[in-house]
Amino acid sequence: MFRNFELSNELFRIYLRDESEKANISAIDAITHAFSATSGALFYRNMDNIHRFCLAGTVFPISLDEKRWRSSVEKFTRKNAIGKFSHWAPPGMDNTVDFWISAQLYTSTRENGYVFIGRNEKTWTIEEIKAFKSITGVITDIVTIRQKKDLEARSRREAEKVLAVNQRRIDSFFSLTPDMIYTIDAEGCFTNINRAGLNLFGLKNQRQILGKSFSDFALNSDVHDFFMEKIMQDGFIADLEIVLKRIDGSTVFCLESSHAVKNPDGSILEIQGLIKDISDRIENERNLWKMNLELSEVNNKLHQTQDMMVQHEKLASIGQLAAGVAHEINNPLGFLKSNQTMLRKYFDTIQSGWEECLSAGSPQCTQISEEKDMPYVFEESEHIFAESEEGFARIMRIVSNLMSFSRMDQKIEFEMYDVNAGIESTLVVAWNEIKYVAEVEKKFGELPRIQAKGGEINQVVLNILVNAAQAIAGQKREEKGHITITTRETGNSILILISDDGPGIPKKIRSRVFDPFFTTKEPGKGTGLGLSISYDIIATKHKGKISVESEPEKGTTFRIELPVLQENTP
Amino acid sequence: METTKIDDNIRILQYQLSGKDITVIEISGELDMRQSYKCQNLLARLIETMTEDEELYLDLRKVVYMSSTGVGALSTALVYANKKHVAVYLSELHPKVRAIFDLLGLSSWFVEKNPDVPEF
Repeated sequence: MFRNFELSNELFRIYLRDESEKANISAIDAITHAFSATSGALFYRNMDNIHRFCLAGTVFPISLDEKRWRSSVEKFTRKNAIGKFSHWAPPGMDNTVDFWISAQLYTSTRENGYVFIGRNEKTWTIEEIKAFKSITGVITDIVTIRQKKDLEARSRREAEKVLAVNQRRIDSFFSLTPDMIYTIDAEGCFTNINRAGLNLFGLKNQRQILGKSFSDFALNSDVHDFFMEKIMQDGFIADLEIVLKRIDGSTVFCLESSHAVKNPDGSILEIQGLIKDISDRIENERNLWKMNLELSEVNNKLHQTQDMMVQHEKLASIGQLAAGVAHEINNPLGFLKSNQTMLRKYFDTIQSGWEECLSAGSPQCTQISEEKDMPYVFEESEHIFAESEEGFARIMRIVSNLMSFSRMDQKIEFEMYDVNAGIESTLVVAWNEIKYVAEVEKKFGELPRIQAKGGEINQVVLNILVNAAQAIAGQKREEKGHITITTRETGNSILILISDDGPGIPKKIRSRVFDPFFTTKEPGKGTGLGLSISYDIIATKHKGKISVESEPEKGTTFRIELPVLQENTP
Repeated sequence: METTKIDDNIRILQYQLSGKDITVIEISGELDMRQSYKCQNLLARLIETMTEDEELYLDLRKVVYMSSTGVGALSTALVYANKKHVAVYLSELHPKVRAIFDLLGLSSWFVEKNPDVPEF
């Protein structure tokens, strides 16, 4: 027993001192020596499941293939029993030894190994066999503890390997991903950011950003406040669009997904987030939306232009018709007027002849004069002639104005144009539109003839007059409105003022009245081109000026200034 | 006034004022990607039923967050409306929502105008 106690201590020391496989050689040396054996062998499988064998007195454990290892040990040992046999040599040894005992180092879960000791001269006594069995129990315990320790160490090493691989994976993802990855603390200050993040902001190193507030880099701090509120409330945020500021002041459209890491008390420890630069996508979408809007506007303008063309065509036809009718009327009107003048002359002759007869004292004439009431006939005839003359004059003026106005349909060049006469003729054309809604007051000054395209100036005046009449009509007022047309000379130019006492133009749209297609009229009633064309005629073609002054509920005044002579025009 | 609740964040008001048919779509909360697509579909269906004389107001005063997809949805709705000659107005925008329109360069396409409301 004493020997066993010493040997057990020795074995504990060996295995404590040396954690390598070589401890097995020291152990079998100690056992061989303690039992005064000639040979000793320890068979085992190491942690890599390799079949090994240590021979007392050697230096290194030897590997055996499993078949040889098994054939060496299994025929001599039984489970939980000491094997006893003779004349055997361990693998690789030439000399056999006479007397052997062996034991299996068997734990509940695993076949651990076998111990063999042998000697010549004398067989093993029962006491020695008991002591051997007891010592194999000690070795089993030691081996079991060692195996557990090895297993733990091995698991730890494997876990560390896995951790290291994961860490390398995370590090490479963090540093190589094209998206920004960042962390901020509960105060919203940067605590970490990857290379992509630095690139996104145009920064060179982390020192330029760590400790700074995230909101300093957000274009709109409101969106960042919304982000913080939402992340406090939900703990995460997915696909939030934010606009960030680069160091050079330019902006980057980004998509952010983040989550909060919380302390046990629920407060935020840090926020970890991923930000993707989506500027290219946004740029493409923006171009697409803009293109669609532009196309839609162009499409609408196309429709409006089509309407305008139809309208223009109608107006042109009416103008041609009016000019044609005027021309047709003009010829018979000429001879009617001429006949009327001749008739008047002949009637005057008849009247003077009749009066001569009366003054000659012809009783017959006196009788006829009384019977037929000749003084009344002559007096009424005077009225009839006067009225007819006035009628002719009116018809001739209308026809002349219609013909004068219709010059706009002809291709005319600059001519010396009488503005007052032009306005008169335009009034005739516009009269039908004006007569029931407004009185027209003319304050015409003495004007020189100006170099102008008369038809076009007439069209401008017509547009303004028709607009004024329609604006007044739109008020649905009880009494008629008032339109005043004033003309005067101002040095090298002439001025036309057309004022109405209509509803006026709201301040908001006053600057847009000359814009093409701008109209306040109901759809179908106006093309929005009248004043735009007028502006072109006055400002571009005639180098004049056209402007509008208006006061809501008081009225509107259009002011047209035209140079008397056009520069560079022969 | 007829009110239709589409969900917690979208409400449609329809009424007549001075002979005009007025539709107001009140949108609140977040106009994120999901909500924007929903809005775009709703607007497309609604505009389809409207006629030339009608006015459509998009009331975004209670929108706290708007994504670019939201602006896209409204732009698309404007294109539909132009086709139908329906007048579309945006109610007075919150500066942070207007900022998105400005950044995308689409503000000038929209007219900001608050709807007239009938007196009761």
